[in-house]
Amino acid sequence: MSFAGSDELAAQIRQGVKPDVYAAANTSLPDQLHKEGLVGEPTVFATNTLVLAVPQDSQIDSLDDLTKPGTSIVMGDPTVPVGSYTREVLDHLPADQRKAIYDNVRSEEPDVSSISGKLTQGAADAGFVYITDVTASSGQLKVIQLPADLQPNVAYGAAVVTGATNPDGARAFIEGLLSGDGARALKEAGFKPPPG
Amino acid sequence: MRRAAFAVGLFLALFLVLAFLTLPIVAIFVHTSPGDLISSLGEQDARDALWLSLKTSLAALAIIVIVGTPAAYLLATREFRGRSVVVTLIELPLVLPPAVAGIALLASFGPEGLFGSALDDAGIQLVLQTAGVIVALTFVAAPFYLRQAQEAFAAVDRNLLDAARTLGASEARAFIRIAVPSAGQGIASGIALAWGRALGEFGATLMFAGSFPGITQTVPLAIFARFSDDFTAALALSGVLVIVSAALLLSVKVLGRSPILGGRAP
Repeated sequence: MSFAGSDELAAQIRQGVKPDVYAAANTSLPDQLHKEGLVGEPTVFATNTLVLAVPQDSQIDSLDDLTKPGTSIVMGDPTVPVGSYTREVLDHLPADQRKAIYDNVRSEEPDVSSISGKLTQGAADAGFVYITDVTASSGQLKVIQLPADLQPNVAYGAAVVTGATNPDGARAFIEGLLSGDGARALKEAGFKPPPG
Repeated sequence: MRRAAFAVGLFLALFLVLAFLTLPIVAIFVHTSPGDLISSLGEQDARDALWLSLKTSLAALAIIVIVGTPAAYLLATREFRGRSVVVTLIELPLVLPPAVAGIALLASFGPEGLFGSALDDAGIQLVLQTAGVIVALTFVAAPFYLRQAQEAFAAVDRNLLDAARTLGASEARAFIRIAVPSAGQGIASGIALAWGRALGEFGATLMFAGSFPGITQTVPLAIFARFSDDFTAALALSGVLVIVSAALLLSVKVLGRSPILGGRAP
């Protein structure tokens, strides 16, 4: 097992690293790798919700509050899924609101854990993360839901890597995510099952 | 015969060391054309990162040298109770993983940390600020300098210092005119090591200061941001950092040998 940003893992696979399974926090990276012939057909194994997270005692309770000067916001780097979903949401906002929010961004982090870490340590006022990260923060963070029409489609894809040393085990692992213990563990962590 | 075999063994070991340590660096330049290097510098974010790295590492280095030199001199020239404990504590950050350094800095100087409210009262903001980068660099790089400077001062001939004092030089004058120049070469290599470590700092900076172009995104963080979507750009920026670091290392070594710092010609 190797845990890192989906894009870093994809970059490693492109550089010739060969794990058995590639599981990503989006579907576009597995799709791209599939097109490049590096992984098999991807399967969507879970979905998630992008939310605004703030420390438990924060006064912030809407996207609008993020426009106030002096608010410090952290988000994912544009190259990682959480960062690109966040920009997808912000790009739908009116131009002046969008600009005010971008002006308050103080850090573009390479993964979600460094976003929630900054929030729990009080180093930033608000950040965009997945709802599962708030669940994982054991009560230190509070969720502010995004307007439903802005919610991006956050789906997770996994695929068997071409040339895997154990392709059968890899397929079994992915099936295990869709049912039984794997699916139960995902649900407990706050993930939703794949649509359909 | 046996002696020849031993010599061959030594050369083989050196060859392996050299090959293993230089091949990955050679690979960066094999994959990067001079054109890529130059065009990576055409990118505003890359130039910002390079400039920020130079600025913050120089600021950290200035703090380290100004405070560290007298501290290292004291440790090298005085015996006192608990000295070895002090030396060990100072060297501890050398063996700390960057993630531990980042957590430790947050726990001490972060808004929720030990000194968080004191810093806040004083109007000092470190996290997500350029000042936070300097704090992180100073923390991880200082032990490299302290260690080298301390060894260099310890190697200075005590008779020289005693003679200077016998001739009427004050303690401070002996330090500035005799000890520092005599230890020049060791001090210079301490500067080179600390500077190199500061330029390469990644984990503690990310955790404590964050990553934002022009404010906190130093070259290693900019390389990491490019790693995922633009491997060529990441390679090119790595190449630039290798060249800058090599130039710094070389110039400090040359300076250390120059008579200005009292070093001897090789």
